[in-house]
Amino acid sequence: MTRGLRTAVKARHLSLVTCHIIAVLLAWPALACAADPGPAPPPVPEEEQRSRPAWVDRLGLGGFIRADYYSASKQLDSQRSLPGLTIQPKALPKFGTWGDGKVEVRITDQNLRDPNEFRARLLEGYGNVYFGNVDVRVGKQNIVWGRADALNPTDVLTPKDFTLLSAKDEEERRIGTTALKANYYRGNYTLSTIWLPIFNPTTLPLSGAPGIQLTQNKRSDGDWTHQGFAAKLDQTGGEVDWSLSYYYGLDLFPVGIPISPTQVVLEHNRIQMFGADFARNFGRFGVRGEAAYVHTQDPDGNDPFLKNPYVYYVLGVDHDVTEDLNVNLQAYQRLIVNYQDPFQFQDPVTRNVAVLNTIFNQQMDRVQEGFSGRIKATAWNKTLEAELLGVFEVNRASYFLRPSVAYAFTDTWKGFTGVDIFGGHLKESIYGFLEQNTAFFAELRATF
Amino acid sequence: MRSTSKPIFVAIMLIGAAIMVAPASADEPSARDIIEKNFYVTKIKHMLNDSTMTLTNDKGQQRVRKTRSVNLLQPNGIDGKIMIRFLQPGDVEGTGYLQVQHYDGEDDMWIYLPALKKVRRLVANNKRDSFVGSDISYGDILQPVVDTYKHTIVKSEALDGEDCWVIESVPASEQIKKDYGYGKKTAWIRKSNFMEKKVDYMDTAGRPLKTMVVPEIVEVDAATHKWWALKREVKNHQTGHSTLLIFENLDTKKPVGEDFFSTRYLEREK
Repeated sequence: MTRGLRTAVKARHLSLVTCHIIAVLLAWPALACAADPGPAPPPVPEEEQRSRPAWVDRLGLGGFIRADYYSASKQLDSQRSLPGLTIQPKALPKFGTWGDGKVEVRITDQNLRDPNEFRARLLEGYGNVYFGNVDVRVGKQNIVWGRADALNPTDVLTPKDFTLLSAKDEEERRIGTTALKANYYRGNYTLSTIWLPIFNPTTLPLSGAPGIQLTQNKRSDGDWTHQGFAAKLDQTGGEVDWSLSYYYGLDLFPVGIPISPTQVVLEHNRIQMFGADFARNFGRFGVRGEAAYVHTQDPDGNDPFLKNPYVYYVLGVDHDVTEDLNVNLQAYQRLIVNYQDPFQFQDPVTRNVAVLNTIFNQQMDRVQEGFSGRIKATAWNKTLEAELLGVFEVNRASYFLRPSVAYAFTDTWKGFTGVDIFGGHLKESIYGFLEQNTAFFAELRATF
Repeated sequence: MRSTSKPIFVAIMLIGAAIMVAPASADEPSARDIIEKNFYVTKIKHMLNDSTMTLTNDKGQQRVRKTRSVNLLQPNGIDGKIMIRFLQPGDVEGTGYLQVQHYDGEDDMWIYLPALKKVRRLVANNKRDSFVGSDISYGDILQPVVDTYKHTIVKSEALDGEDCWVIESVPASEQIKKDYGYGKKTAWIRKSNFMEKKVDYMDTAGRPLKTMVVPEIVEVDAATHKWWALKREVKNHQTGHSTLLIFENLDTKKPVGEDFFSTRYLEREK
C-alpha cells in the first residue's frame, strides 16, 4: 500500500468513525426512548429534565452537532451534493474570581463522500486572568473589530475560513489567531493592546487555473518580521459608542506572485491599518459607521503583486419596522490610492495574476461602491426566522444573496435551509468570480 | 334672611356632593397613591438573582430560558440598570444583555453575542414588543411611571384570601395606548404590601389580551418594605401562549458596583 493510499484510508477511517459517533449522538433521543421496556417512570417535571449535571456547568461544557447538505462546495471546485457532519464541543472552565478559560474545537467532514474533507481544528484555546482594572487573555482567540454589520473595514486581526459550509457561517467562519491581549478599563473606556506573535492567514476559495500550481507562504513561523501589534481605544456607553484602532502586521488576505509561468506563490504582506467606528441611536433608528485607511508596501501602486493603499468605509442604519421585522441597510465605498488597471499588463501571466489579486482584494476599480442589506422576520414567539441577506457591488453589478429560513423545533433542535447565490455580469468581480459556489443548503443542528 | 340662607344651602349641598364622590373612608388612599406605592415597592437598590422563564405554546411545547441578572437602581429612584446573562438553552448560552433605563426617553441597550464576539448597541424597542419571545413586554419589565395611565378604584375584594384593591388604568393618551399596546389594565393590588396579585390586560381594540398572576412574593428588604415577585404567570388569551417566570437566589446584600454594567462584564461568557 502506498503512503498516499494509506493516508487516504486512515483519513477515511477517521471520517467514518466520526460519522458513526455523530450519527449515534444524533439518534440518541430516539434510541433512549426505544430501549425502555419497563413501566413508564413517573413524569419528571420539565425543569428537572432540562437541568444539566453540576460538573457540566462547572466546566462550562457545551457545543453542538450538525448534519448538513450543500449542493456545492465553497472551494471553487467541481464538488457537488455534499452531505456533511460537524461536532463542535467547547469548555469554559472558571478558576474563581481571578480567571477563566475557553477551549473550542471543530471536527468536521464537509463531504462524507470525500475522505480528504475531514478536518479537526482548534478554534479557540485561551486563558483569562483578571487583575484590578486589567484583563489579560493569552492563547488562540478571536479578536473582532468593527461596529458595522458583516462589512468591517477595521476587522483585520482574526482570520476566517471562507470555504466553511455552515448556515451560520458569518458567526462560525472565524478560525482564531494566537495573541496576547491586555485590556485596561476605566469607566466607559477600554484600551486594548495586542501582540500577535504567530500569523494565521484567512482561508480563501482559491484553486489554480488548469496548469497553474498555487502554493501559499503562510508565514506562521513566528519570525519577528511576521508578528503583529495592535491597539484600540473604545468607548461604550452614553449616547454614542466609538473606537479608534491601529494595526501593524501582515495582511490576512494574500496576493499572488508568479514565480514561473506555471507557479504562483501566495504571499502575505505587511500593512498598517488606521480605523475608527461609531454607533448611535436616533429615536428608533440605529446608525453605525466604520472606516479604515490601510497603508500597504506599495504606496505608489506600481507593483501588480502588492496591494495598493486604500480607504474603505461603511455607513448603515437598522430599524425595527415592527416587533417581528428588522431591516438593516448599509452603503460602502472603497477608494484605491494610485490605482493601476490590472488589464494593462501585456504579459498574460502577469495580467492574469494581477487580475486575480485585484478581484480577491477588491481593488478592481479606482472607486468601488455597493450596498448590503438584511431583512429579518420572526414569528411564533421567535421560533421561526426568515432572513434575506444581500450584498450588491455597483461597479460590476455583482451580488451575493442569501434567502434562508430557520426553525427551532425545541430548545435543542434547530433546522435551517436556504440558498447562497453568487452572481454578476462580469467574471472580473468578487461575486461573479464566486458564481460556482452558488448552493442550496439544509442543516439540522442539536445544541448541547 | 332669604339672601343669606341660599348661599349656606348651596355650600351644604356642595360639601354633601364632595362627601359623595370622596373615597369611602378617609384612610383609603386614592387610586393614584396605590399605583405610586405599587411602582416604588419593587424599586430595590440593588439585587442579584437567577431566573427561569418557561414558554409554553398552545400545543403544550415548552422552551426554557435560564438567566442570571444584576440590577442597580439609578440615583433618580426610578430607572434601573440591568445586566442579564443567558445560561440556557445552549444556543444562547453566554449571551449578555445590558439595559440602561430612561423613564422619559428611549432606553440604551447592548447585547453581546458570543458567536460574533461583539458588543452591539441595539435599537430601542417598542414598549409593546415581546421580551425574548415571551408574553411579557418590554413595557411590563420597566413599569411605566404613575401618570402614564389614569387610574380608578373599581372596588375592593378578596382574591385567594388576600384583600385587594381592584384598579382600572387607562392610557393617558392615544400615543401611550399605541406605544404600550394596552387599551385598559385591571389590577388587583394587595392591600397588605401594594404588590399586584393579578392584572388583566385588554388590547387597544378592547379585547381580552392577557392575564398575569403573581402568586408568590417575598419581602427582600424589611427595613424599606421592598418586595419582589418570586413567580409570575402570564397567559395570552389570543394566542394560547403562556410564560412562567420564576426567580431564585435573590441577593440584595451583596454590593453591586457600576462596573458590572460595562462591556467588561458583558463580554464575559460565564
